[in-house]
Amino acid sequence: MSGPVARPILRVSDLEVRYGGVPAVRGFGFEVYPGEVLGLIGPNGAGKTTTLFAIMGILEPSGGEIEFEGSVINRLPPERIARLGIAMVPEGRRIFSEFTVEENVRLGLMGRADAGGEADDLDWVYSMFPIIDEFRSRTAGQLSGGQQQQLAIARALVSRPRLLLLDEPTLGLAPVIVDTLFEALGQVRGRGVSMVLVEQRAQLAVQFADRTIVMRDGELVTSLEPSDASDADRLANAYFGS
Amino acid sequence: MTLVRRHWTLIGPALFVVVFALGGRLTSGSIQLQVRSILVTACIVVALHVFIGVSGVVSFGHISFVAIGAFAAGIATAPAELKPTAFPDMFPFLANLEIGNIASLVLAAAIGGLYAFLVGIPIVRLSGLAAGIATFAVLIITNNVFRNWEAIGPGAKTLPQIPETSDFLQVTVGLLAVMAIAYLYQTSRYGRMLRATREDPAAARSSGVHIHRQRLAAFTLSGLLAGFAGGLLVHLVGSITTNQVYLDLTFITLAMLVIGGIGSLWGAVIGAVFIATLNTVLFEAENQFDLGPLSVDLPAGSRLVGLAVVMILVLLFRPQGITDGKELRWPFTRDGADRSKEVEAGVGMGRD
Amino acid sequence: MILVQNLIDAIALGALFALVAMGLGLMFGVMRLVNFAYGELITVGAYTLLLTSGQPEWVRVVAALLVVVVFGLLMDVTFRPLRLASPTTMLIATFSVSFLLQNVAVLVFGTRGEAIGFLPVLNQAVDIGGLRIRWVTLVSILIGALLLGATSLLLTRTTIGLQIRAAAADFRMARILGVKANTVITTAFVGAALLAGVVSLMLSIQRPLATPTFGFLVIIPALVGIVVGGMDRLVPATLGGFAVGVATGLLGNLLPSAQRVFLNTALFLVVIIVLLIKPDGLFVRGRQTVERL
Repeated sequence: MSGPVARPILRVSDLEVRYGGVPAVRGFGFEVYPGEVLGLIGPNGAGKTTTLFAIMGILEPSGGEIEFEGSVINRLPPERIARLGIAMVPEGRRIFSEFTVEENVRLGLMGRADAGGEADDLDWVYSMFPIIDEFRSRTAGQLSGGQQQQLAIARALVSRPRLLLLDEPTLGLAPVIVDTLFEALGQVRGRGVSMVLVEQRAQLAVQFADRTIVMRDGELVTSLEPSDASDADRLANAYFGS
Repeated sequence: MTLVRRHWTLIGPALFVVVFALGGRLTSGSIQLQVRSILVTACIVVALHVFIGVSGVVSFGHISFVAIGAFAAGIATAPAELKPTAFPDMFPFLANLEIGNIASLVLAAAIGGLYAFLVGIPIVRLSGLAAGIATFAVLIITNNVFRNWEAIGPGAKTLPQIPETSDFLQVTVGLLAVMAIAYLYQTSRYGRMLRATREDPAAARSSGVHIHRQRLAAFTLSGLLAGFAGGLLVHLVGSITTNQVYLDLTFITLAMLVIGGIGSLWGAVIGAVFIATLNTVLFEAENQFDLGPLSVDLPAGSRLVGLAVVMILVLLFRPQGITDGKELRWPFTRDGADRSKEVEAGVGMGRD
Repeated sequence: MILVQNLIDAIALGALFALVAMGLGLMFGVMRLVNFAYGELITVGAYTLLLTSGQPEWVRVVAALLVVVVFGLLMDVTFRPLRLASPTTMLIATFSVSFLLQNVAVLVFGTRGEAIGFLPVLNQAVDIGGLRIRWVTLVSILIGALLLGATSLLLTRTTIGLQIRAAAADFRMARILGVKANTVITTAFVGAALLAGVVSLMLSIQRPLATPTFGFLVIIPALVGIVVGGMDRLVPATLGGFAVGVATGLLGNLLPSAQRVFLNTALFLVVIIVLLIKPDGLFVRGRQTVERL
């Protein structure tokens, strides 16, 4: 990053989230700067999804603070957070398989803070994902895995979020499709959308993101640079610990 | 003393019951009947607890077992000379049957258990919503059949002249027996296995617990106890109608269980006694009673409304009930550590 | 001839049950709530008509619908805290509210029924091609079809309809996208209440006495309908309601009275069987894993 340090678009500090009485995330914190892609990797059960859910308002933190563009958003419901400018693509895509592709995308419009300009947003998204445009009237369930993933991202983007949370977007996708997906994500990055990218494929994440943080057992363990992507030892260490 | 302490979960509530019964014995005639009725109701609620409290699955149908036990005991003990004329369509062997008091209670329990077993075989496969609806279906069906199949039941008429043998001794001993059986079950291996399935079904299953089998065991046992309670019930007032063992009783006993706190034997007992007492007070109030200088006369129907309001408030604001699903604690603990062998009840109603 | 007449009557009953099933389905869809107390909305409608006897008929209609919607909103508020509760708690809670309202009715109006006297003229029959059909039967079928069609259009062509369907399919995801939970749930409850209101109007014409169990008696078979049809989805649930209504109507008329009393038994045996074999319902294809937030 060059130039003066900008204010972070997202700041998570000292986050604690509990399931029953047990903390799944504790003392966790990080920052995302405008236009930045932050990778978030770690073994299963580390608390990555929990963290994203906490940011999105699905889970309420028992401690710590989540700030978006300077305001604390801990206690807000998901639909409010969506309107503030955060969108999420959850694990497993969660598209509405019984609805048409178009209906799925239109649902994304619910997260817009203002009315008007809907047509522009739709055009923008359809131009970024031409496949989605082509299959507009198809039932979403008929799409392939990779297409569904594109649909999920398109749906998240149509509300013009400034921060995009992605939970394991490449889960279950073939490598060729993964490439296409990351191309699309690159385009998204090019539009200035900040991202938090949770990924199983650690190497991909570290390579693509501007910075990647590693989470284990609910806590932050270390931070990685794209140059570390080719260092298998460093990656393994970070993942499993020494 | 250690024995008492170890089994305080049973002994504590049992002492409470005995004291309550003795106290009731000292009151006047009509109130005595109410107290005995409260004790019988407590039997039903404890029977409910054996299934709902331990398995965590709701059943709207258990009053069917109370009903079948009550009718079995009632028909079997109603005078044989009266039945054929009063109920011309009844099966002859039923009409001519006349057995003793204890025998009728055993019969009631046996039939309750058998019916529960048969019904339970398909039902225990269901959870949550489906179980609730299916057991509700059982309630409707049982009532429908008893009300209309004149060969086995009195139909819409009252079955009268049943010997009123449920005196204080019978009712108290009966309740204590039901509580003891419930306690033995919930502390047994089977009871604890079933409780495990409630708290973490996946873990329980992987440690070899056959959920359906354990549920069926609990369902059958609770049906047996409910049938027994039905027997006590019918010998309490000497008559029975299908309406007395249908929706109102289902609601009231369920309310008692919930308000007392699902998952604990003590909760079942205290919920039953508390609500039944409230029920009695409101019942008297509907018929006007004098409280010193005050004269209380509530309009008919306020009793059930009052109970329903209490139930809803509890569900909204303290869904875990009076006891929070926990058993009665040994009152004398030194250094803060409670070494009594309590069955740690679950946390009220969890997700199914 | 008799058969055709019975069939038409049964279809009218089916139409009404379909509306009830749709109302139940709407509430189930957005909240996973099986609302035992829904029948009481129908009872409220009947009693409102009773209380407005003597007023012009249109006033009575508006009053009934209004009061039912108000009660529907009250239910919305009361059941909201239960949204994340276990199915067990929900069942007990709605059962309690149903019980409460029925007994309030007993308290206020007594157990004996009172004559409503609403549009009795519609009970007269008209001769159509040799068949004697009551006006109310025709009106029921017509209004039933209209409302079913209107609700359908609302759900598929409007934004709020899309939001409701999305919430019913995947509540958590809908919220993430920005669908307002409150708006969706309240709209569904108001819609369901309106349906209940209309049903109470239609029933009040044919069942002259308002009793505390007026609506409860309808909800029982309707519950059968949505369980059999498929609770999770609106179309199957409505179809289930229609099927049960038609079956009840036909069997009610065709069975000799000795067997007729066991109708409930037969219906609920079917419920148990369906729950065991195809717990998602007869008219539903495939399973749906649904998440609630």
